[in-house]
Amino acid sequence: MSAETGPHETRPELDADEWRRVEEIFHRLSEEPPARRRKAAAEACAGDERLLHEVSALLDALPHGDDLEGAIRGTVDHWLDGAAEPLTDPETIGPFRILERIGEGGLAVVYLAERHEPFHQRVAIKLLKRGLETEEILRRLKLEGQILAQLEHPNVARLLDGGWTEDGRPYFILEHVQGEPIDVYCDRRQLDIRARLRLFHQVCVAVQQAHNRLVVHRDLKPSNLLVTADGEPKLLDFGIAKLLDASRIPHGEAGLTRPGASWMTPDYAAPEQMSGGELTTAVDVYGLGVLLYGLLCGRLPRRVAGKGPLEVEALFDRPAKRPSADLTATAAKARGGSVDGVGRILRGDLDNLVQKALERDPKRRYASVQELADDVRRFLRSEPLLARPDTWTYRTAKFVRRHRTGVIAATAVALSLVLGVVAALVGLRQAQHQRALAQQRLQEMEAVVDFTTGMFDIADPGEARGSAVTAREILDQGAARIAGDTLQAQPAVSARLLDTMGRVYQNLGLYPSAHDLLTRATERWHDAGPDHRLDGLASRRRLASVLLDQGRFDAAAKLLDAIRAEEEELDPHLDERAADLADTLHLSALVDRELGATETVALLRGALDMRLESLGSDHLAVAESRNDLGEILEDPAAARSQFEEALRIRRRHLGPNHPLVAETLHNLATNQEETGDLEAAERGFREVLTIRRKVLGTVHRDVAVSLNNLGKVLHGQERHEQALESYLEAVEIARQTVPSHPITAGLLSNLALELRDCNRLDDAIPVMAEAVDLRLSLFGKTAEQVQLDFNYATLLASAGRRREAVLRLEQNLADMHELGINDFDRSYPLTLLADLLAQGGDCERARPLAAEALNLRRDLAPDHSLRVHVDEVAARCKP
Amino acid sequence: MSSSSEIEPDPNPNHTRHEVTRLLQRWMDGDEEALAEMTPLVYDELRVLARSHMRRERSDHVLQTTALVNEAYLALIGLQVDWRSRAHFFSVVSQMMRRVLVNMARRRDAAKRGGDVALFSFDDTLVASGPRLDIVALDLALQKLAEFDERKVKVIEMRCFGGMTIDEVSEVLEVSPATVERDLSFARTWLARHLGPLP
Repeated sequence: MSAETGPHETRPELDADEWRRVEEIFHRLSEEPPARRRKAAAEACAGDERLLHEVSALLDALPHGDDLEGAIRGTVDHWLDGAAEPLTDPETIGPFRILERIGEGGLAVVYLAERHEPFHQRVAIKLLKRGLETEEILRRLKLEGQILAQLEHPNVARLLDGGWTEDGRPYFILEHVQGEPIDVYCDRRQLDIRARLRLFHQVCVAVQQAHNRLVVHRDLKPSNLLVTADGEPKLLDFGIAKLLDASRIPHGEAGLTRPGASWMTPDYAAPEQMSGGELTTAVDVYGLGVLLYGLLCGRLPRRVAGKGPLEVEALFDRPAKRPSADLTATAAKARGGSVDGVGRILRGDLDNLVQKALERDPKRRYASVQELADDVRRFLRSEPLLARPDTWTYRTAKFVRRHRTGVIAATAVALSLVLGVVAALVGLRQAQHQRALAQQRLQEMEAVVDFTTGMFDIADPGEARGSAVTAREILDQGAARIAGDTLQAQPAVSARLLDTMGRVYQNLGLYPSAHDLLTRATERWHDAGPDHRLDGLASRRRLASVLLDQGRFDAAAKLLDAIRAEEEELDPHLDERAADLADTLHLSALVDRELGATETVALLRGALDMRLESLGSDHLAVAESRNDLGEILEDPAAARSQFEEALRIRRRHLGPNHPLVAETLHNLATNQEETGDLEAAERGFREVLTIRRKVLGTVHRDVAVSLNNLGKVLHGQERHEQALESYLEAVEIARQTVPSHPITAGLLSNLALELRDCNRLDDAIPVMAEAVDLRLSLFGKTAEQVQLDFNYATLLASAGRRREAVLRLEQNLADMHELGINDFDRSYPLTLLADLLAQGGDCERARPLAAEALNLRRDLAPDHSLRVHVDEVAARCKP
Repeated sequence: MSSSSEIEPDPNPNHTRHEVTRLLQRWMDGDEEALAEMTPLVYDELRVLARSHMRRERSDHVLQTTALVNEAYLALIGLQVDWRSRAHFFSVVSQMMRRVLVNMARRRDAAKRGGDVALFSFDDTLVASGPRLDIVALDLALQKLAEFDERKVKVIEMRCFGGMTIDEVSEVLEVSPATVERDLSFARTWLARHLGPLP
């Protein structure tokens, strides 16, 4: 069908020359008035029939060209526009008449439908949306049908039939379940704990039955568990369920090939679902655990609101909360009792039971849903449970994976985006006294949730390449969409999203994008009107911190001046706004410090005092103040106590493995190193190293830097072999990650000196040569380079390569002269050179050099190594 | 233990993004090979985006094409590349867009099991205005046009599939805006002649 090898046509094609003539004539004629064109064509073609035929045909088509272009564009847009998605719902599907839409997901629409013949029947019909008939999606739906067809259980909504519509879309006919979500059902009837457990037990039995048929549901949550008016629970929506391959199930554990992470409901998803780990029936055990937790105390066991990927990790590291400790008066009332009364029932066995279902490690959970169901039954019969209180030995084991996939980061970032924004808006709502305003915020919140969930489109495993979608991709997609027109009417919504995404970009170190988004956020806050002035200020402060991160100190200072001016203008409800003002002050101090100001200690202390007063002593902002203050305090003891306090706060809020914890740990260890507490410093650097390896992976520049710090401390303790090991690994990593970077040159130099100290001089020399060359290629001759050159010369001298060492030292002295380097530093190469020359018998040249060195350093004690060398020269060269 | 062969390779999108930017630069510097290397990367991204676009139900009909191309741009290049590279990138995307849509249309036709398709058809389930072209027939006509004059096909692609402005097209093709206009006028007339009149 390709035209290049096309069939022989009756009329030969135009050749290139004729083609050019046709075009030329066409353009000439198209400028003529239409009436004259035919005549002009005949003249222009001058009797060439083939040409005339072609030109005439084109002239006939000329009036249609414009329409055609419009039609192409229209068609393209039409295809992109959800293609042939019908604007109206079908009237019938198969024998059923459609009554109404009752649900809609990304892939399918669900209708309520009925028929009267041969008997009256109401059903739910799930119909694939148009334009989605891709192989992947059809395969999914077929699988879902297959799964449902296998399940025959009174507590599972049945698949009745399926088929294809006339336009080729698959549909399922499902049992129509009339009921309410299980949590709503329980609360409205004020069911007590035992009644809830009985209902939950029925759910477990249905899920276990599915597991027996090798089906994992993977999306157990209240909205998929309806309870009918007769009190019968019904399990719905196997849309993301998986068939376990029977041939691949050793001992009830089955591996699944594709995680389908983005299809799940994050709050109910097991940790291994979030991280793209192996999915087994244990996923449903976890989902049931979350469900039971909610039924018992009305809340979620693990909240990830406003937390980044690392915090989510930390959250999973800790055991789930205990339902008995998470009970509110309202929740207790809905369970027919008081906080004390219901709490007493939950405490102990039920706490243990839920926590066992919610273990992070699938192997630590109940081995099957059956086991979980059995423990529920045991509780109802007051028998001893399988679940026992947790042991702490297990807890100390860490479960941080080395290879985190893109999915976990994406999920967690996007999660924190959704939940963080929602939480912010909810908080706002509570703070607002005016009802109308609260209403408006609620609408904003809904828009935000819509928008943010829309960002997951790209994370759809059917659509994305492979299963790895990074946080960056989701953010970029979101950023592009905010720029689009969907949120133009709601400046406050788009401002808040821009602000949140700007912060995430900043945390990822993507400063230009962060800058761009935050700039737009401040513009949108402005559009949103005077109600949002404080929000606008917050975004601008964030922007200033990005400028600081980027090293654009003047711009940051200017922006902070403007922010301060506006803050002063505002109605000073100081107690409410003290924390904001402290943020501005703190940022100003940091910027001033970069710009060379001297009184920044006082500014930072001022900000710290304000934060202490408005936020209390246990707050991350206070930790930030203390950390940054410690960095500039001159008194090491004072600095240390600031670091220690900052570390305590950060660890408590962020868990042990957060980059901010590592930052303070590093500061503290450096402080300890400076004050000679090398053992404590070593411990500190080792911990920083551990965190960075977990967070950044084992091959990362900052890991190399940490290894270097550790090496330095070990060197100071004269543990040379260990220091050597540390430097070797550091260099290995640096060569991979930053092969042409001053860090690498420094590491190589340290490694060379350590090799020397381990008596491996021959190995040391080429390493030092590499350091010298690398640094020279990066920066040319600088004071540091001269220092490095000197080190190289000493290694050569130690190895007895005198001639080379002499040449190097002569060059070194010349370079120092050129750079105007002071006498103190000159005394070293002078002495060494004199020594080497004297050893070679060249006393003529050695003597004046030794005299010059001595002259520069008259203050030296007699046993100083420099003095010893000079004396040696003198002794050797006695006349 | 599951076998590792079932774990799909993990394409690094940052790597892709960086790669596309680099290739784009090389292509703008005159390296035609770079375009060939860049094409599959862009195509993949666009396919994903186009599908997700089709999933979204939009009531507004504003500049769908431009929005999509912009998204591909952001996804692959990021925010800070100058206007000139932007135009060049859009031209690649336009070409890809044609391929993506033609493939989708082919699949759709196959699914319908209709076989022979009329050159023009009205899709009367749609409220949207204007006739709908058979995108596969259009593609064949464009292939034919390319035998004579590839530049004109590019103009059509950039204008109609990529939503680019005349100035942007002129930048990429390194011809004057007037020439672009003339190419466009000729190409669309030629296509109208070969595809027959609109209904």
